[in-house]
Amino acid sequence: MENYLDLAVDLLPGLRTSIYMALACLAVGLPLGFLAGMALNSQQRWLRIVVVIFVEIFRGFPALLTLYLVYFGLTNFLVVGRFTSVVIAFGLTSAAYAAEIFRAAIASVPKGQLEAAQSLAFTRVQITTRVIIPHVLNVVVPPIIGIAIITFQGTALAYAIGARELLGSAYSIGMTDFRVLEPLMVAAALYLVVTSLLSWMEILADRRVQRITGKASRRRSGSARKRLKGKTDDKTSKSPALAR
Amino acid sequence: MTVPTHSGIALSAREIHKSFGGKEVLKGISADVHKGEHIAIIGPSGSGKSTFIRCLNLLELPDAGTLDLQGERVFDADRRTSASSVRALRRRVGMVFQSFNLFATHTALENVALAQKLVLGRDKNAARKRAEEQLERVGLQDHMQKHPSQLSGGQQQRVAIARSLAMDPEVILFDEPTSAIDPEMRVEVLKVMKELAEAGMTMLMVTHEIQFAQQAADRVMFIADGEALATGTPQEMLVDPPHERIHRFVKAVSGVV
Ligand SMILES: Nc1ncnc2c1ncn2[C@@H]1O[C@H](COP(=O)(O)OP(=O)(O)O)[C@@H](O)[C@H]1O
Ligand SMILES: [Mg+2]
Repeated sequence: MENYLDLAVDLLPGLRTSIYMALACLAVGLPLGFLAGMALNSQQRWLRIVVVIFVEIFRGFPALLTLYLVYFGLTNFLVVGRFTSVVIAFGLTSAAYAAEIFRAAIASVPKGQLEAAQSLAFTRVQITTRVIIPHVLNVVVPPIIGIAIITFQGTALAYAIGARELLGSAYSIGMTDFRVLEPLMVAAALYLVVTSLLSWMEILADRRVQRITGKASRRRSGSARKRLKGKTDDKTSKSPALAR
Repeated sequence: MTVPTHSGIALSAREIHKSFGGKEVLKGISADVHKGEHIAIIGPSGSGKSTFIRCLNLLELPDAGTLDLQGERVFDADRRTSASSVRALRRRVGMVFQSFNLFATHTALENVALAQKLVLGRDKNAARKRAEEQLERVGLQDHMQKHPSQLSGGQQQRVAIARSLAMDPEVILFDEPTSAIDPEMRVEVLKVMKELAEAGMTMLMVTHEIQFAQQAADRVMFIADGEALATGTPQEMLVDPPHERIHRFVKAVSGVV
């Protein structure tokens, strides 16, 4: 038992790196995803096409491939460290996934509310800031936490380019005495602690959305609780922005 | 209630035309609403009632026709319409929708205060005070901090009415305000509307509530196929309709209620 605790303490720097990595990826990915989501709702067809291509590429590539391309590709031109490569690669990947969430959230503002705002003589800017953005901020939190979970887990892929994140540290600690299983199990537990915490936040946020809008938020994959109940409401949308 | 004879015309719509994709939905409808007058619009579904009402605050832009408020030309389909002139009109004309359309992320109080602050430029306290007054007026003093999803349909519609009232409109348009509400809760909305009518508010309302129209309307207008077939007192229109078609309609609608 004490052995496991020691291992956990040894793994804390790795865990910290993983968390920082995920936060940095989200700091890049979410604003970019928001802009992409706005673009997908734009009237400009060429803009929608450009963004759909971006989204399809980074959702289509396995994240590890994107990471390799960035890490081995960019190092030909500039000096990029492992951490930066991960942030660029997974920032783009999470942006691609977040784009669809933001697009759907923006498109899901009830038409009647927009008309009510118009009939009250709101300006376009007022409609955006007072009706659309509050709605988006409200419904988007649970699926964005879902993205945070995937991004956090995804940082384990950085092990493939030798980054010393949680998985990488666990493996190298194991390799010092060729007993890899214990540190891997401790790492697994640490991953689980963080993702469970996020899942719990996701459920709370989802409840809040339900309370305010009176219905469940739409998302790409169900919350942990729904998955437990065996429900999936996975609406895989193939470039709906182009269909208009 | 009788048509007020001495007051001027609050809203005048002349020869409103509107087509959707080549289909003419409004074929030149005109209406004069006098100050303090209450006009009920009835007619079969799909006849253009909502489109007409929506043209009156430019949620739909008429293809032809004019709108006057208190004798002042505020819209002319033959002239260019700027976004600011559209807003200037909407400031003066209130709208209550069939589906309430409250802002879901805002409380009842915020729903009523928001446009006052943004559009009329009232300061926070004044807007709040006015919002509280109007919510009280519609009987919702105990529900001001709730979100729309926590309110019944009848309560939501009363918030929507308060939201419109707080803007001090010269006329309020209602588009089937009770159609989306459970029958047992309609009466609370109709009661509020009746009180508004008695208080002298100028109202134009699409409704299928024949009994309510009889009690609260000064005039009833029957729209069919995008045309105003007839207009008259509730007695003329509802009790002894001038057309067979209106007669059949009134009978059918009353039968349901
Ligand atoms: N935005 C729109 N686009 C196309 N057709 C419309 C639109 N709005 C209304 N219509 C059509 O116009 C006709 C009149 O509709 P509406 O004004 O809603 O009738 P009512 O309110 O009397 O039931 C209907 O045939 C409807 O399908
Ligand atoms: Mg209608």
